[in-house]
Amino acid sequence: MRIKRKGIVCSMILILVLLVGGCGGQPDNGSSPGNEAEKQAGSTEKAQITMYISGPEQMIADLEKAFEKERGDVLNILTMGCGPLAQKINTEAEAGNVQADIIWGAEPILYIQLQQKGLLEQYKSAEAANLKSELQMGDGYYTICNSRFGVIAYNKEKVSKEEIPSSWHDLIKENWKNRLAMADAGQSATALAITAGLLEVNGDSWSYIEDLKKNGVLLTKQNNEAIERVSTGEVDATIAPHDGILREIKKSKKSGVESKMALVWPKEGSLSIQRPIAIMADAGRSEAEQSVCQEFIDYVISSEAQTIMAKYGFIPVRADVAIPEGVPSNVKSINLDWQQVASQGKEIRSNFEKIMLAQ
Amino acid sequence: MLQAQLLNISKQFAGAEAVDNVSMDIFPGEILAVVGPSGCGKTTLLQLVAGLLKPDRGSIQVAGRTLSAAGEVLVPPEKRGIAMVFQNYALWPHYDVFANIAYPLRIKGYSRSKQKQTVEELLEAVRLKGMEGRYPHELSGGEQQRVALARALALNPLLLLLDESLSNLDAGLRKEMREEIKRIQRELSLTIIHVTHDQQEAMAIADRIAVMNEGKMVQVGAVEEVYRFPRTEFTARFMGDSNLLRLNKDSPAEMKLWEMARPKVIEGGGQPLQHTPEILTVRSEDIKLDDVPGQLTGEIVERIYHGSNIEYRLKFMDRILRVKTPADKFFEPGQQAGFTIEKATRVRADN
Amino acid sequence: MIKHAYWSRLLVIAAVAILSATILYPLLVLILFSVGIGANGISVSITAYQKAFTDPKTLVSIYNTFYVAGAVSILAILTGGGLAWMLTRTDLPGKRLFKGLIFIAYIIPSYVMAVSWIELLGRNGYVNRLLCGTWKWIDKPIDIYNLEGIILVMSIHLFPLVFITMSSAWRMNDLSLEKAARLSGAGPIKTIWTVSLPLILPSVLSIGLLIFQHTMACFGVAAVIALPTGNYILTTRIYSALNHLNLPIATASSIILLLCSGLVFGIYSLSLGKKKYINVSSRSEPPELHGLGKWRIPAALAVLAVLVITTVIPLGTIVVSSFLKQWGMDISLAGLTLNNYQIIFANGGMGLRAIRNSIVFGVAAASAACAIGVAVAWTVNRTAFKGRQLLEFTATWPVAIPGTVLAVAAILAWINPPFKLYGTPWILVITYVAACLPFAVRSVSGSLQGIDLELEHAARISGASRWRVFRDISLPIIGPGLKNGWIMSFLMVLREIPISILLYTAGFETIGVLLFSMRSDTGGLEAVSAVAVIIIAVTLGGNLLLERFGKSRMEGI
Ligand SMILES: Nc1ncnc2c1ncn2[C@@H]1O[C@H](COP(=O)(O)OP(=O)(O)O)[C@@H](O)[C@H]1O
Ligand SMILES: [Mg+2]
Repeated sequence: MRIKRKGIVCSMILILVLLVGGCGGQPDNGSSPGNEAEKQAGSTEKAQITMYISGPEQMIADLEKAFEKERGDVLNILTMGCGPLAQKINTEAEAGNVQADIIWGAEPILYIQLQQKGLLEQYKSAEAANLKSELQMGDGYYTICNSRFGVIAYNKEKVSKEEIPSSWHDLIKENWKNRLAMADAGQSATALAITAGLLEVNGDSWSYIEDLKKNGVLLTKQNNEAIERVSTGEVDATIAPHDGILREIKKSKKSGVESKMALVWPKEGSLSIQRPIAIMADAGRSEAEQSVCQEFIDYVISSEAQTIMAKYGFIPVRADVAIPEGVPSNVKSINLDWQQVASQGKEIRSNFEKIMLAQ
Repeated sequence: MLQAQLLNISKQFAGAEAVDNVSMDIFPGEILAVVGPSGCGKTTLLQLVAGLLKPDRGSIQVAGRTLSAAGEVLVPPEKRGIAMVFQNYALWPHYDVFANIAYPLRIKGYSRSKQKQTVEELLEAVRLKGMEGRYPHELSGGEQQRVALARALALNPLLLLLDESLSNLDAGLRKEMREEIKRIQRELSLTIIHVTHDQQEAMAIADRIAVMNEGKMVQVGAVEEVYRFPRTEFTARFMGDSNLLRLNKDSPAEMKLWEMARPKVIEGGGQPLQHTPEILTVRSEDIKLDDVPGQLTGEIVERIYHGSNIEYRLKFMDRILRVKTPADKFFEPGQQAGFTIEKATRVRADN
Repeated sequence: MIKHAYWSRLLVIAAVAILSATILYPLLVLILFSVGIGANGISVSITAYQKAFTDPKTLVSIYNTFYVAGAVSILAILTGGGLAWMLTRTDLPGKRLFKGLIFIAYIIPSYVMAVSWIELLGRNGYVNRLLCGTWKWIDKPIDIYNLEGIILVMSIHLFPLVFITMSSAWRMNDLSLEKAARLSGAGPIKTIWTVSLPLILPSVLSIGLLIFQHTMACFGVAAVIALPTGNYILTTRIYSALNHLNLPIATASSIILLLCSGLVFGIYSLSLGKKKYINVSSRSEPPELHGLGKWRIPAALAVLAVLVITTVIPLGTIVVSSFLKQWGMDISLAGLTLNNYQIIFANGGMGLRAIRNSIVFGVAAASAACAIGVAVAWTVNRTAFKGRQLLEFTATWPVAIPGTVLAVAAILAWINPPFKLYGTPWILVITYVAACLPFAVRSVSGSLQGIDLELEHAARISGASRWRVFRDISLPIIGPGLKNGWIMSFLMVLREIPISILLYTAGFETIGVLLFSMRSDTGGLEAVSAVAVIIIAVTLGGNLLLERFGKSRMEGI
């Protein structure tokens, strides 16, 4: 008995040692970013900046690789959803010790709020001059680095030819009952933006959202979940950003199945949602780090980076980069006044939740 | 020289005195039996001696060392050299018999071979040879009890505490174990405090008896003395089949019996009692029956065999008396029998 | 009690210090921040609390939360308790298989479990496709998007916890008590009802409470199953507030959650009263099994049916999905691929690293939580320190706090020097420990309460110091409980998502981060299923390894 118990203890210790040893052995394989982060802590001459990013991981990896080609490993990237990103940055701000140098990946609303709190650093990139005129916003506190459109996606197998929606208002018709999904404006900032857009389309009236609820719209936590539900046939159509829809279609193709999803650019116009990038105000950055931050902003809006992002479905912010495949050249876009949306954000969310709350 | 001494020990649980101002001397090499009905505080008393409980008041000395005093445990239980066999044996379920018995030796740092040798000796002493590898749940009650005893003996204790250790055994095994304990006690000249609610067992095993009631020590003395000369009503009741007689002018039966017993009172066990109200106690074997009507006559109402003797219920007027006779005295229920009281003792009434 | 020995005082100080650091300090910081006392100056305001308490949506959420948590507790107890009784007390055949299945049900992360139920019972789920489409048995698909859906998934996710706890409770039960009842004229059913059940009532209530609180604080399942149809629970509101930078409202809502949880704890404590009577004495016999007689096979089939529905089908769905080209597609040979596993392990080595990190963190956090759990349980049950009950109360607190809130509190607490742990893996470990503690403390405390004090007294008498008594006697006897607590904690870390995502640092990704990154559009749900399969495989492998090396006599699971 005693010996047996010793056996357990020994094997546990053995496993522990192996695991910890395995972990301790990590610094030997130099490619790990964690290891880089540790090194950086000890040495001052090497600049490394921390970025919180929400976005397609493969695209981020591509950009990181391209950016670091000449500079070496200067980016310490943490990827997360836009929800956790907002939670994390906000909590850090509350604690008065923001850790990120650059944040990239949510809607302008977050940036406007952060700017109001004085947490963003102004940087007017020389490249910004190349941005399309309507995207020149933020006064350098944030820079728009790509944009996307809120559109409709539907499942080709489930939706007959006659039924294919052509406008936002088609979706609130009787025949779409229990066939719709969208992300919850209470959970997702992108969904909040989309909601604001839908209000705009509907002349600032909540009746559209109410009708969606009447049609039994399924809410999801994130936009890509809503897209996924169309792709798997769980619902027949959704309102979501176009880039995610395109990527999902592409992904299906890559894994060898024909996607059942198709995209509609609504008559009234597609909801234009920009994705900004910003440098956090931080006195603690070294000069070298500061310049890496600025270089990265420059890079993201350069034509090289914009071309990479276009491959992932994002609409480039520059006129000199071709729009992605699958996006018509004459998309009618509905633009929002983000300052106004930001100031009404709370109210929009609260109304949305009130309407959606199950009776 | 005393082996152990308790002085004015008290212990309260939730406001009630579980042990109330108990003083007691224990002599080297003796078996002292503490008897009392269950719930009277016996286990509590042992735990106080063992140092598992902190006394509220009083002090405990063993072999000249003060172990507990003034509400403090001065010497922790593991340093006292006192062994205890628990009411439920408390064998460790995850250890086999060997490991259970060897545990105190392991603590003392005995070598493995020394442990083995000692355990073997102990197993022989408690007649459990060859059971080393068994686990407690694979043993019968009696075997578990003997393992517990062996484990206690392994400590080579200054004082051995036995808590109702024989109560869970069947009659035959109990007798055997009792003799076993006595034998081992003699061989090792152990000092033992043996706690039990069974006065027969106490008398059979002990040199001296201490009677407890409601936390108080009622009487301490040699077995025979306590048996023959109970000093209180409680002791008299508890120690044997006694008939208690009160001076009660309203009851003619009581008065008649009282008159008969009064002259037979023997003053024993020290000073005569001066307490009032006085109660006389007459043991069942101290009433003599006769088949012819005698000075007083009653009617046999019930007969109970005990093998070596017979117990009768004798109706005298409105009273029932218990009478014990040798097995050859034979009466039928319904029969009239004369009786005489041969001995009586005076005891103090409980209030 | 004996006066506090030096080391027991030390133990208490250590327990208090660790609980303060891992639980009290972060929560205190969080609450201070929520009323405006923080790094950005002091401007005390409780408007957030007023708002949170008066918002009518809060009321609905509270109602929903109680409904779900109550139903889950009852269902999980009935299923887990019933199975525990069948598997420990009767001569049911196939016990090993059943136990294995139940264990697997416990390993599957709740989020993955929820997703797999959607794959089955969603509007276009496999089951609905069969029932509505192929077989045309029903007209309208079965709807899983409601509170009952959460109840179904959470009950299935949590009944193994009840099973584990109650199996040991049933095992500890003294059988002679049941026999006495039978001899007193009670039939077998009546015996169970009047004797066996009341005897294990304390364990039932204790595990029921844990499940109630745990369900209250869960979000992942609610987010995919009830959120879609606008069924909000309290945690939905907390997440929503956090996503929109409203820390005060999020904290206030968490406080509401804590209050509700505290209320339940209060009811529990009252109803428990002094009913603490489970005893392991030295005389505990190996349990004697009830013969099921002619019911043996039907009972086994019934158990099998329950486990097939709760475990085998979801598990099968997950495994199959992990090989599908696209989640939810019709199952055919042509649709199979190994691609999902390749994605996990390609991903810049992140997949392997995440698994290894999670195992290391899991072992570390579970061991630490169990060690603290032992210290706390010991202090509460074996010493006379004033306020010792508070220790256990504090240690079990985090179960009522959603993972995200724990993580946010940890960020606030550990971001500024001199306690700067944020940005290091340590903050993950500390927060995991906080999240595991309730499970560890409950299991250890439960088994420590069960030990007959005489067993410890006997060891002291035998010359053992308090420490040796603990090491030689108590520890081995609470071993099974400790092992259960350890496994619960370890699995908890392995499956954890929100804490991981908010607190990980580059290079220290965990399985939670991996799950998330697979979830976002790199891999899709089919890759999430593959991660789940890997988690199950790793856990089962580890368990087999442990069993191989030491099958202890007093078995746990
Ligand atoms: N731990 C305790 N807490 C409260 N009361 C107790 C405790 N232990 C014993 N008692 C009470 O003290 C009295 C004496 O108990 P005990 O010493 O066990 O009696 P005995 O061993 O003579 O049967 C009883 O009334 C019992 O209820
Ligand atoms: Mg007793």
